[in-house]
Amino acid sequence: MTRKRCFALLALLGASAAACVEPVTLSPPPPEGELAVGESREITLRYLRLDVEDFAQSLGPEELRRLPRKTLEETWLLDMDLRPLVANALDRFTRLPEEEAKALPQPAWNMFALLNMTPASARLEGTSLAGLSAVGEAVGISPSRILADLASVGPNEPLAPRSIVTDVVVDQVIATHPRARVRRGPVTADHPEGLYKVEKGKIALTLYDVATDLASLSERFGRAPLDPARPEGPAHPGFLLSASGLSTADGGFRMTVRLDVNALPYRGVEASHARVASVNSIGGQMGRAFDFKDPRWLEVQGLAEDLAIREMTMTIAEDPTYLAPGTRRDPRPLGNSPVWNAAPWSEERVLAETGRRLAKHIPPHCTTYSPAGEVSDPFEAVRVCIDGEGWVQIELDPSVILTGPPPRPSYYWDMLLEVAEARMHDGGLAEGAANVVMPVRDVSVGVRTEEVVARIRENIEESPATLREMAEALTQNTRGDADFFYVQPEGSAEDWLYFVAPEDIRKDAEGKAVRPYAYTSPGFFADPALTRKVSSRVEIDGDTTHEKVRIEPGDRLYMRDAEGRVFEIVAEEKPSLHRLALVVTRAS
Amino acid sequence: MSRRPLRIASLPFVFGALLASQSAGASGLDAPLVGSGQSGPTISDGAAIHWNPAALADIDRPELFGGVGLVAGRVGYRRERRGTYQTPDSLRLRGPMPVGETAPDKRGFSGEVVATPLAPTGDLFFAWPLARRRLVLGLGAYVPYAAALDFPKNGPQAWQLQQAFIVASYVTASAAVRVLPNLSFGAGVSYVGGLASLSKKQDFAELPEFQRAFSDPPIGQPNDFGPNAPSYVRELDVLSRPISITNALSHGISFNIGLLYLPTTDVRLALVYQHGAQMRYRGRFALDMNDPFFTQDLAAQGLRYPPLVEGDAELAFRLPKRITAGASYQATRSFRVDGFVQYVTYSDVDAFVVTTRSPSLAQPKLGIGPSVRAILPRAWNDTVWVEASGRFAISQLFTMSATMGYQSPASPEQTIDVGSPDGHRFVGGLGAVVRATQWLDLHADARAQGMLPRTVTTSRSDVGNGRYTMAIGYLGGHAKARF
Repeated sequence: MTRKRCFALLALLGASAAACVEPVTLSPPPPEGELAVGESREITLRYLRLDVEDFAQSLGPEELRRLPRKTLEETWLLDMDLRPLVANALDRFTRLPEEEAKALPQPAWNMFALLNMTPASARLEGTSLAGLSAVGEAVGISPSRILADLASVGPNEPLAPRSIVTDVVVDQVIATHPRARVRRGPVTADHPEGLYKVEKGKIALTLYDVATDLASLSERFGRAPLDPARPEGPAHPGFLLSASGLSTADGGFRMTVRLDVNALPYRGVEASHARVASVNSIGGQMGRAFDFKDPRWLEVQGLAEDLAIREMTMTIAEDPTYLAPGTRRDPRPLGNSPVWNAAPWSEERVLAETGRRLAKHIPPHCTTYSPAGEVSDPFEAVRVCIDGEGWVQIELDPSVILTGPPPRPSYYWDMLLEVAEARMHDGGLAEGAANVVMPVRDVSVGVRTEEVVARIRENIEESPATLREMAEALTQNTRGDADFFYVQPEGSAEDWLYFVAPEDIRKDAEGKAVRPYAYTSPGFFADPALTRKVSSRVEIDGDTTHEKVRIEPGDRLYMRDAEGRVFEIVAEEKPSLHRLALVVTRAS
Repeated sequence: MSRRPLRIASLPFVFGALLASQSAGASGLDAPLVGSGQSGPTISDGAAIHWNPAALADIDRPELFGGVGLVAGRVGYRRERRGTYQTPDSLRLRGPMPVGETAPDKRGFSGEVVATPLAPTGDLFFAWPLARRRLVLGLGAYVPYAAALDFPKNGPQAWQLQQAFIVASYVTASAAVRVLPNLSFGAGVSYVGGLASLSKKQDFAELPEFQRAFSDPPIGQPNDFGPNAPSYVRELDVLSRPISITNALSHGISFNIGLLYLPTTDVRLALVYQHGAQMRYRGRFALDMNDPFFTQDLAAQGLRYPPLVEGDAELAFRLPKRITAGASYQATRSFRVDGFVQYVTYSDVDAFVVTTRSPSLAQPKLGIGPSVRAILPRAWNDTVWVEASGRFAISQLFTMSATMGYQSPASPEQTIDVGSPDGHRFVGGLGAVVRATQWLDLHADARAQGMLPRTVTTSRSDVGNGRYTMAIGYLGGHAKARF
């Protein structure tokens, strides 16, 4: 009832006004304005502990996404070997039902056809190898047989085994990506730039990737400047168009850590306004926060037995210009094709490199072919040779007359490159528009779940900085911009003031400090000129980071804030065991 | 002769303590009178609508009977803390308490806190005979309860009650029939309206929701909170949140039936049954959560209240049933004695159910919804009330009366608190009636009741231990007009 209504009712009843019950309202907030020079304000700080044990903080993707991105990105989980992933992706792609493959965009269909190309299915028209058909016609031998003999494969075997294609893609496309070579991590003495090497053929998975359901992978492994310092400089076009959905069991991915800490923040003072602020206390307790002997200190739930990526689209970009196959043997060992000067990740270069590696697996040999049918004096009409350097020559008996020119001598990879380039532009694709796009679904990651979990635990355990960031992010209770805060050492009722350290600065949603640590004279002093320091980094409860001083009623201290203003702090009589009353006066 | 009203009046008072699990006891501050001091279960006046509707049958002329009074009292409580308490500015969730974390000064007797309630009461009855000495109809409006308590805001009782303001009123329609020349039957139906406001410190340590919120993930800390929380986790500064419930209105229905039997011309016997009622007080609550512990420190774990939580509040409980047996004897032409025994089924009141509703209450991650329901066990005892009065007619125009009585307590030691200072109570009263005219009588009454000082040492969780005292006085006058 409102006071007015209460009075009205009581007037009717003739009762005492004392009967009116005031609704609970909030006390007026303390003054918030900035202190003027000479102005004082009284402020009371409370030291409240909430000692928790086995404080299990569970993070699912949604909660993870709320953590600062910087913390997530620096929380390395594992380096995922992409070789099995690419192999699986290629395998799944090449095994697509033909009808399904035909429904793909033209570049994808072209790649599908190319990867499945066998000597028997090879279409050579539009290339210099079309001359093989003429040769075949002349001697009555199928061109596919000649091609199969040359490649040392069966007529229906793929010309390019997937293992070799996988290796090339990993080496040429993935390993050359600037963000695949290093990962971000905490800045340490050994890693002053916060960059850590990643083994070739692997990509680093971080908590951020898990939090974004792997969507971050396409962002990270999309187009990227080769030199991060020169964003406008040459760039790697990237190899992932999209990725999503790390397979999870029912309930989804969850990561649970257990802490034994005081979960409440310290109360501090933002001197310029003489107002109470909060400083996260977890960082100062990291030494004892986690019980690494207890395997439950970090648990990962929800990863499926067989880890797989639900959807992934890999891409290899075509060079915008036509890179003609080589025509000469020199310069050795690769010949004169401009493809070898192209970026290693370009599609043509990948094809050429694939051909080069295939050639290495073909033993030097010559195959001779005679005309079909019974002849009284057999003669070698065609002779096809490949030497140890991959140079292919097709020699014809002068008596053989062809309708067209025979294939000219060239490196095996140049032959394949020419065919591949022709086939990649089937369907009328213009030069530069035949980017390879391979969409696949449910691709096995190729790493066992328990291995992933073990790596997660191991890597987080070995990174105190990440642990701290994570633990602070889990509690997220820094509020305001305190200059100093109030601490009572464990098991003691002594009152101490701690000056903030760089790690106490409040962080934004991205995990970055909201203000620089601009204190020129951190600590507490006995005089307004700040010449007699009374605080030190004496160890208390394992903390040697903070300038700190014990304070008792009547003590008078001085400190300078980040803007250079000097404040006087006087301790009043204690209101209670765990409270501290201070009068803060702006001195300058 | 003076009479106390039905003890129903005391029940709203428990409202004042309901949110503390240590809520109130029984007939704390009943309005001492309904009708005048001459009214009672064997008396045929307008107040029979309340006391015994069968007695209306003896009214042979239309009668208007009304009056006003003032109730004043003194309720004293000297809390004795017998348990061990944590230092109030700490927050340990469970025992044992380490040395240095207990508050040695929080033990033994505190200074006495006193409330001096002052509240009006009044009533108005109308009886209308329809068929001479056969059927009488009645309509009455009366306030059997009106109380106001104002304890110190930060006194040792603040977790039980700070302020309370309670009014309960009945509007009853009755009918009486004379079935035999010496036997009457009567019944009445009552609308029971209530209004209440109160304030106190809500100790979150005793809330089961809070106990679960801390014991279940994501906080997951074993704790000693809950309705039976031991003293060492109670009354902590951070968990003591001011709460008020204001403008709480209740609407209920009840009825009574009675018999009046006159075996001889000098003897009257009465038997009355007053039914209980389901009461629901609905009002607004305001809860001060303006402590960083509740507003920000554990926000990542889902504990994030706005500084001020406001919403709807409801208190539900069942009023007890009462059976009253009364008798009177006209010893001489000028002297009469009467009395009654009333048995009250306060054991019906086994718990109070308090429901607060507000979207701001919801803490989904902690399993706390927008509606918080608390069941507060009471375990009251049935009570007995006996009274005897003597009336002496000094002349045809002037009559005096004197009353003595006793009420047994409803609250066991485990659940008593300052919201209803309940104990063995003794009643005394004096009254006078002056016949001003043939159609007008004037009544004046003074009544006092005092509770034997009650020292409680076994209060549940040490909430209500201490020494209770109470004295209540009533002064009022009535006029009875016959037409």
